[in-house]
Amino acid sequence: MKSNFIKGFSATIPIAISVAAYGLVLGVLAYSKGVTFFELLLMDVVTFAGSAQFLMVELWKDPLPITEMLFAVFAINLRYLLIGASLTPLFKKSSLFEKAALMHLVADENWAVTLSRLKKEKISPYFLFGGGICLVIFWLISTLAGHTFGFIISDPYSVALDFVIIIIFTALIASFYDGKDSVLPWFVAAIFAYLSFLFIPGKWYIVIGGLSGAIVYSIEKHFREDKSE
Amino acid sequence: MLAIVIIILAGIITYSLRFGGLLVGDMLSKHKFVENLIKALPGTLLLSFIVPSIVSEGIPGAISALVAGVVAKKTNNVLVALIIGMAIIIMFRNLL
Repeated sequence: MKSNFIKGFSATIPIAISVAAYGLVLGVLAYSKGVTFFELLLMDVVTFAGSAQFLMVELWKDPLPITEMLFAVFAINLRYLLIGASLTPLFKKSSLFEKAALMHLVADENWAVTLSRLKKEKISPYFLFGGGICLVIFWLISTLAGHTFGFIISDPYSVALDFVIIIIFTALIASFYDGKDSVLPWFVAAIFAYLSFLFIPGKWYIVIGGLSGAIVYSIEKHFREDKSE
Repeated sequence: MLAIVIIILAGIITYSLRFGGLLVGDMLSKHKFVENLIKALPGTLLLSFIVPSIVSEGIPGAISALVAGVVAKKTNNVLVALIIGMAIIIMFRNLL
């Protein structure tokens, strides 16, 4: 059990280093948006989800748009339902308590490392948990360091700090690219997002664009599979 | 105070999804339509998020985002994509 924890921890270190790089960026952004050190710390531990935290920080303004923020967090983290579901084989022998305790620190990165290892050898859920502990340590150090040294950046516009998030999201989006199946849904998402941005107040364009694109993807898949049968 | 409440609620939402996924596990995979919908959401949501900013940044924004996206896909490295994308946008803002 213990060795599984250590194995998972060390297998996750390489990916944790790259996670720390954008943790640093998140910290700097959070500082410039007025998120306090304690709020960022709490977010790291309680939410522990990179893209969702970026979205929250980006939406951070006075007064806090609570509905939009929570809806965005829910929508972007919906994929954890699938991630959780895909871990069912790993937790086959676990008690309900063990499942509840170990699931909190599941992120995209240790999930991916664990599933690829599970194909090769028999591992326990503690491998996944070890990876989660590794990630949360790197995440805390990097985000809080970014927040602490955020004041160094004196002119956010000329170093294009406002655009960092856009580039990071673009890179993340690319990793979700699913061949030509993504083209039409993404086109629809972009159009709907921009139209809602122009005509609907608030940040609803994120949810409207996201949902319309995803629905198009589902419909497209539905008809493709019908044809192939 | 409201900030703390939002962060805790966001945490509860995220944890419920993680743990809930493990609990409903096999049920979900029977509904192909829902499964595909959830699979497509992260990409389409993030895309919707960036579209207005890219449009308002104009051509430089579009070029930098496009290059960053392609680099990320080819190298599988967010950091490299970030550095190249930022270099392009900083160049446009400061030199041109």
